[in-house]
Amino acid sequence: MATYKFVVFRLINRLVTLLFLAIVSFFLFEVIPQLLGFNVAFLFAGITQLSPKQAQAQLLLVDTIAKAYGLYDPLPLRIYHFLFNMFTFNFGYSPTFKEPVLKVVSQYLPNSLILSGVSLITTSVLSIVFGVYAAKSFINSKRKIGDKTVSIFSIGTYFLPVIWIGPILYFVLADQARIFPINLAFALNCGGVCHPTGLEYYLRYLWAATLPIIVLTILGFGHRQQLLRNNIIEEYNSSSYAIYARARGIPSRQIFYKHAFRNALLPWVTQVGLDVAFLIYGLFFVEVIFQFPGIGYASVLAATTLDIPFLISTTFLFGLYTLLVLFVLDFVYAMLDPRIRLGE
Amino acid sequence: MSSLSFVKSVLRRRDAIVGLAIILFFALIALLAPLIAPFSNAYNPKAYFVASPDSPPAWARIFPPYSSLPPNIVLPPTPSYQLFKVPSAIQYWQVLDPVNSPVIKYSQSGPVGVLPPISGAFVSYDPTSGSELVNLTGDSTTPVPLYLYHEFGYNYQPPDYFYAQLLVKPITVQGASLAIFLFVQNEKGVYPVALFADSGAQTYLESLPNLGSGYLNYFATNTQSTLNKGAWNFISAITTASAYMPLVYLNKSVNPLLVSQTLFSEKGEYKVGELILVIPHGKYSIALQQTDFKFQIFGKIYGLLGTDANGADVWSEFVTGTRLALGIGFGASAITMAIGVLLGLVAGFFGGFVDSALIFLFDFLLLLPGLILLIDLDTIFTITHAVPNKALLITLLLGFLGFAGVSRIVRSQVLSLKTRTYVQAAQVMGASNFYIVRSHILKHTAGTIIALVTYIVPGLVIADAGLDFLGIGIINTPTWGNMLNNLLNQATASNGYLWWISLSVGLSIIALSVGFYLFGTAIQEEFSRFS
Repeated sequence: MATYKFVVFRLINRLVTLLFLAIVSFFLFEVIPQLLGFNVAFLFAGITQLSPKQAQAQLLLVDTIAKAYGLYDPLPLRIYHFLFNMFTFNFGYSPTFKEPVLKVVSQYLPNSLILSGVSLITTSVLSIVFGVYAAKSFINSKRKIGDKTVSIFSIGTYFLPVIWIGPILYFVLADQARIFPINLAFALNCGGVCHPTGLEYYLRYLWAATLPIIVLTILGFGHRQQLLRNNIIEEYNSSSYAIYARARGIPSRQIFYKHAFRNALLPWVTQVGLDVAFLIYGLFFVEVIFQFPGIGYASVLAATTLDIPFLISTTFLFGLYTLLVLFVLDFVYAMLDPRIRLGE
Repeated sequence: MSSLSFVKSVLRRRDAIVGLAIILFFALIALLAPLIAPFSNAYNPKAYFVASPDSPPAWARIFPPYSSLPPNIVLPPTPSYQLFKVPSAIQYWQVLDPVNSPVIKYSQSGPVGVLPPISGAFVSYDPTSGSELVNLTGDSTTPVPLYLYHEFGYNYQPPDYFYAQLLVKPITVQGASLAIFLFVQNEKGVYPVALFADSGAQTYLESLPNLGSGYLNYFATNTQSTLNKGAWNFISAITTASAYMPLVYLNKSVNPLLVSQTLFSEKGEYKVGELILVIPHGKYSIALQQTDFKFQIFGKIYGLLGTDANGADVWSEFVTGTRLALGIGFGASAITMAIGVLLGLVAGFFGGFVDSALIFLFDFLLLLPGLILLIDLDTIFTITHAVPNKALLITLLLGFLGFAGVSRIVRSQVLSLKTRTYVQAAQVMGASNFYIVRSHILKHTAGTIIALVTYIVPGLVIADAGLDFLGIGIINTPTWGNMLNNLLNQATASNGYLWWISLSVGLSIIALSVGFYLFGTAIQEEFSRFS
């Protein structure tokens, strides 16, 4: 019963946040520019400045667009329409991509999902492997060289800016050594000379996705690795059940895996969830650097070309995604940890 | 706990000293930027071509592949000689007259402020200064060549670009025709790189037995190369427009695309300068006003940090970028801390509905994708021109979007402090809220707040660099993000991937983060030991 209440409460909370985000973006994109004396219909139409020859036609287009988006309606009606459109995924037409926004998103999103999905797996595996290795080295080894090496590398990755290490890896591995293709399009058509199909297509795709995934992995695994390492060491050395198990004469290997590692995994799962929710940040830069046409790449393109319908929809979709992940995370928590479920 | 002993105990730690030293190093660069950066905006075309594009730094000569790259060579070396402003200018020139000795007189009689306005990427002259007069008189029927030249030794790899300019105004030309060459001379011969001639001299040159057809071609193609009497003639040669050089028409062995590489292929003595060719018909008298001669070989190594793809000074870009980065970092963190601490205190101290509402706000800002919100706000305020300065806009946006994390930490600190006995005692004794916040709560959260600043500043610096990198931040201004972004288009294997740009910016970002991290951690640890 308590679980049910908790989940419903969180669901309402997340929904209200999403609604608030939609209202904020409505005011941001449609009201604030008007208050500042700027006609947003121009942006919806994709016109940044009037050309003297076609001014008449352009103004007519702006007028049509304004009517189509209901920009002349009274404010409450506009808010209602805006929210209705957002929650029914009716995002309008993108002037940059010359296609409905939803279609553009559905074209670009899979690439991002592959990058983020694969890198999530690689970072998780790496963080567990090296987290356990470092913790073991800390506990068992006298000079702790293994732990020190891994930890220095992991903590070092905190300070590596993606906008620096990304281009460098690109120059060295893709441009100079030619181990990886210079971008996805080139990998898929070999500069216009090949048209791979079937298995070869997917292999070539993977080939192009490898370098972005490597960068996301290097920059993403350190934090979770350190978290796991610290938790294992703490659980192993000072948790009451580990001490008790040791007193009972249970082998230390068993204590390590059955008690310390298992309990240390819980905060690690939290971190994985948060990383999933906020994965987007790294994607933006990696996709731009490696010209990987994902949703971050498209969003930056839209922002530089002032494509307002696209930005409105990605804001909403990113918000929806994050809140959805966080909601699932709440649910997973409640399943994993009875203390949360019972509201303690 | 006295704050002095706290500071002392922090400064006793080696990590704090190292961190502080790094921070101060960059702060010093930022503060002194107007003094140490030769160009306030190196992305402005006026700052282009201080040396060849993609030149590595001068100290890179210690590496073998760069050891014989030429530096910038400018002749005459001093501006007063370039501007022809002193009598010694004519003595600085070496005068060679193989035929007969004309009388050359230098008189400081030229008018001031009469130079025509000339625009061009490499032009360097001073239109406000006057000119000097050179008189030539003699009696001859054979052509009189007069060489004014500079000598220099060149012991480097061939340069990619050179540039020569001269302004002359023939005042009186009596009994003769006049042609003026700019030339480069090496051991193999004399190479004319620019030529202006009046109609008499043109006829004479075109009638020469060997080279006449070449001159005919040259004057037919370059119709602007007519020497005008009584007016200023701007004679210039640049290797980016080497197809207009007379040597291309006269000397078929020179590839027009590789003029500077051919002319400076040998190490040795070179002469560059002006050849005044007088074609007299008996007694002649010539008066020339002359100013602003400049010859430059664009070096392939330059300065502290080399040049970018436009030949602009990277050191200037780096310094102005550092100034902007730290300005935005500290400015935005000041806003973040002010709002964050205030709202955190309010939420934690008052509780109830205020707390719930503020928590909703904090969560809203924390949970939603901040980057895309930042991009949205940036786009909207940029197109509506709400904030005149892009750097200011970014500072405000980063400041106002980033406070939620601070608020949450301060709030939780306040919540735990509120239950302490001394706070409750103060409340019971009737102390005002303001008093409690000031003398109990703020005092005990001070360490956290200072440590937070040191974590927030590098985060904001990187956020700003990231925005610029994506092309939605500050544009047309050198910033760390823009410098790294330009690499994506400009770095190739042939320019060494512009390592002098990527290393200087990348290592600076890392060093700054590490410096703040070391300093912040030291403060936090010492503070927890204190309280």
